[in-house]
Amino acid sequence: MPFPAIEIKSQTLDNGLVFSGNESMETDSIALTGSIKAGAIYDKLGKFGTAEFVSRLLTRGTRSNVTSPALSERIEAMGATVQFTNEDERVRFRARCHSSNIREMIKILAECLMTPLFSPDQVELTKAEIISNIEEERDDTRTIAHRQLMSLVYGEGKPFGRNSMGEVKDIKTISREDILNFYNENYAPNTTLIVATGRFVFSDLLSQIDRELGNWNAKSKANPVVSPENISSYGIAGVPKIISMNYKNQVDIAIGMRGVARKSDQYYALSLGNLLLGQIGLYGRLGKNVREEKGVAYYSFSSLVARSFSGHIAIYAGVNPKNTNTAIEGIAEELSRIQFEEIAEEEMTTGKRNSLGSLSISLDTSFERVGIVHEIEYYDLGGSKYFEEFENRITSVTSGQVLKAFAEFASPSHMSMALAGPVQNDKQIRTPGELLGKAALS
Amino acid sequence: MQNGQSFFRLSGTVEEFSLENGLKILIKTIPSSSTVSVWMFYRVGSRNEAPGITGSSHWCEHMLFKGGGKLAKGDVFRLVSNEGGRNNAFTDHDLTCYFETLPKDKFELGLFIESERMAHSAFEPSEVESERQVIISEREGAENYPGYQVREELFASAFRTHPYRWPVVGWKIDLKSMTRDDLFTHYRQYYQPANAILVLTGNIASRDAMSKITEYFSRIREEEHPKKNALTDEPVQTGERTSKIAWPGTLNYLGAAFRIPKSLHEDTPSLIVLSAILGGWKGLIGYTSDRFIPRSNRLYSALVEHKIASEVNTNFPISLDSNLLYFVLTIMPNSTIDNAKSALLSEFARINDSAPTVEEVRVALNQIKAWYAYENDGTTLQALTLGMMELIQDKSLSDNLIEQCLKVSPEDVQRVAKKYLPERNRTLCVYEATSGNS
Repeated sequence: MPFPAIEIKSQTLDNGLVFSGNESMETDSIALTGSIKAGAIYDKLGKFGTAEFVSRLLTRGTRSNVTSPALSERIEAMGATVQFTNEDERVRFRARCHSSNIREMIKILAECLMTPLFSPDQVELTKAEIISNIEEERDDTRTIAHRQLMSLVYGEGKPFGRNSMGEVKDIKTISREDILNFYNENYAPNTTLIVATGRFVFSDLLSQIDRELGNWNAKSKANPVVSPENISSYGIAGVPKIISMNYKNQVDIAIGMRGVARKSDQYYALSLGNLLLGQIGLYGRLGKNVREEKGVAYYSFSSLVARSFSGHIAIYAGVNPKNTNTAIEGIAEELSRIQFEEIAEEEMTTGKRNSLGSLSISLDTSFERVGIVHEIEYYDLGGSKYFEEFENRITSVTSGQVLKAFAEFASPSHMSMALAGPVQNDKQIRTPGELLGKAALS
Repeated sequence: MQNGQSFFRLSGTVEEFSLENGLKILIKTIPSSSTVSVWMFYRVGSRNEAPGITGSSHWCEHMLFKGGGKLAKGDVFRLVSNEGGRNNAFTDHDLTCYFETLPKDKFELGLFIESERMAHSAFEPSEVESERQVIISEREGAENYPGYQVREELFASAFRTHPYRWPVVGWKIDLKSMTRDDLFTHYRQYYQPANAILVLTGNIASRDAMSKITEYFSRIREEEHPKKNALTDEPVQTGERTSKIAWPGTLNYLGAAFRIPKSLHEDTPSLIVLSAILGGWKGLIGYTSDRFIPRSNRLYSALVEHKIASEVNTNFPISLDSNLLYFVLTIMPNSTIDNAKSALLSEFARINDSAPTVEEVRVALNQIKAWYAYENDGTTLQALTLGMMELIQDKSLSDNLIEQCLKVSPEDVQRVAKKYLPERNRTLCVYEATSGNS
């Protein structure tokens, strides 16, 4: 399927802020997204959760709209949306508005980014809200299994290994001064990217962004907490973490291992392998094995996360407690196949066609398209030429490259597992690493 | 600012057709798109079930991925994936629907799949059995969430005779006992051309589309008209109903629901505006994935800004029959169920006692207009809205609802608040998190 022509224009302001746009006159609205390199990995020891605090407070009052409700009303009165989300290495924002409101939207974004108020009452409210959200997560088997897995894959308390919302004990001590310090150290135009798609003229929107954000002063940012030099290539497999919650009805299984950064040469092999393993159709091979053949789970899928410096592969399944080992065995069987069994040409072709087609279909909606353009620009993947590059890279992946990549990252010694829910006989729980080790030997 | 009364209109260029066998067809040509989205809607959901076979519509939906006729098990996903397309299905109270979004020159694949599904799904006994645990697992996964339990309890308490009282996934006891014949009978009864609506949106000319649609669907004969199930009108609620779930957990929750009329009722536009003023607005259909939290509304201000709840989830369903306007609160650790209940009920009383301001209504209307455009972004979502509206009344229902909302006054909002939010029409459910791990 040929990609629709997507033209991405990009310009860097004098202060280092990057604006990328994709004009599309088929819609009356504009979708915006963007990011600031100010996520949870920049939290300091003893202050885990500060990044989350700041991200939530950006839309809770600015110097010109002193109160949080006034700012919300200004946004929602024009039917617009703005939200900031802390995503580990970056804070991401997403916004939508009618094209006739874009000037006001850019003004609001600029105020949120440049003049947040951090009023004491909103700091206290946000503190209570984050603590409540963490408490809610403590009752959520799926999130617990995921969080525990990340702590095994990246290391407990380490960047990406800890809860991006922070630790309750830290959050209780975080002060307005801590929040201001974090903001002043990490929020800057030269670490900010804004992307838009929809009904606008690039040069006009660029001028508006320059007018509203051009006087934001660049900062020399401290070295990132995580860099290619200080992160090890592989996670270290630990003893499975089992969080027993006997009052729940389903056990959530999370199995994972370290992966690669987005710009790694191995990314495309892992991406195609992940698609076949647990995404394509109804959860790929995992869905066929664990859901269709064994019939023990409603969902069993894999995901590939690739960030600036690191990434991971994770597999999730939700099962009745009596079927826990059966599901783990099914997952181990598929992890073994994706490392040791040549992938049939037909399956490779289907995977490649699906990869290309999915990307093309995603471009059909402005909200998805702006997200794709953001990732292209954030990871510096070649602008408008990315689509051609993506096609070339995906179509050239071989079965051998997929097997090799998974053999490197998904070996038994690199694999971790976490379970949350009413786990029965936890001493008898098998680990995928143990099962995979046997499969490799047989 | 958007100009006055102008808003995105979905249905203006939609063409309508029908086949002799009763299949209704809607086609919307979107020349700028590179895709075509093919949706098949059936007028069957949990409202068409009965005790003993609750969940049968949803289970049938799962079975339609298991092959039959020219489709082998797994073919639906395989064929769509091979073309780089997307597909899925879902079941709700009033409907079951299936879709394939494909490159524009491959739309015929969607027609092939849907025609085979309509006429030839096999319901192999071994596949029915294998799917039983999958569906029970789907239900058990949902049960892990207190919010799901509160919603299930609200509907079970608020409805005593109408099928909306059971969950779409079904009661577990029925899922354990339902037979292949129960499911196949349900399938044959409702999967008929005259009980279906086919919607195509995207880069397709209606003449080309109709030629292919006729080829695939005109040969499917109606075996019998869908039997109307014994739908009962829910009696008028005559007093507040309360229930309590006491179960281990970390936070308390509070659900509150009010019976509202079916969506075709004349009060619906005013109720939509009421819902937006109380809890914010995120679209008519509500399937648009977005983590945006509306804050410019009364409940957020009264409950979240005052550290009573960390989240207030407001739901206004569009449906064939009388349904529920309902709210689920996640109560903050330092607050109490009583505090939350008191603050929530105060807000219901406040809008009952005095009309909202003109400015509040204006903000709500701007949200409603804007979200109508957001939730119809792209071919897939436009087909979804069109099909749902046609199933409830006709393709222009959502356009008409938005238009009628724009005429709603503050007094209209207060009038429906007085009519539908009194205590006797209310159902409450408390989820009290107990300590312990058993």
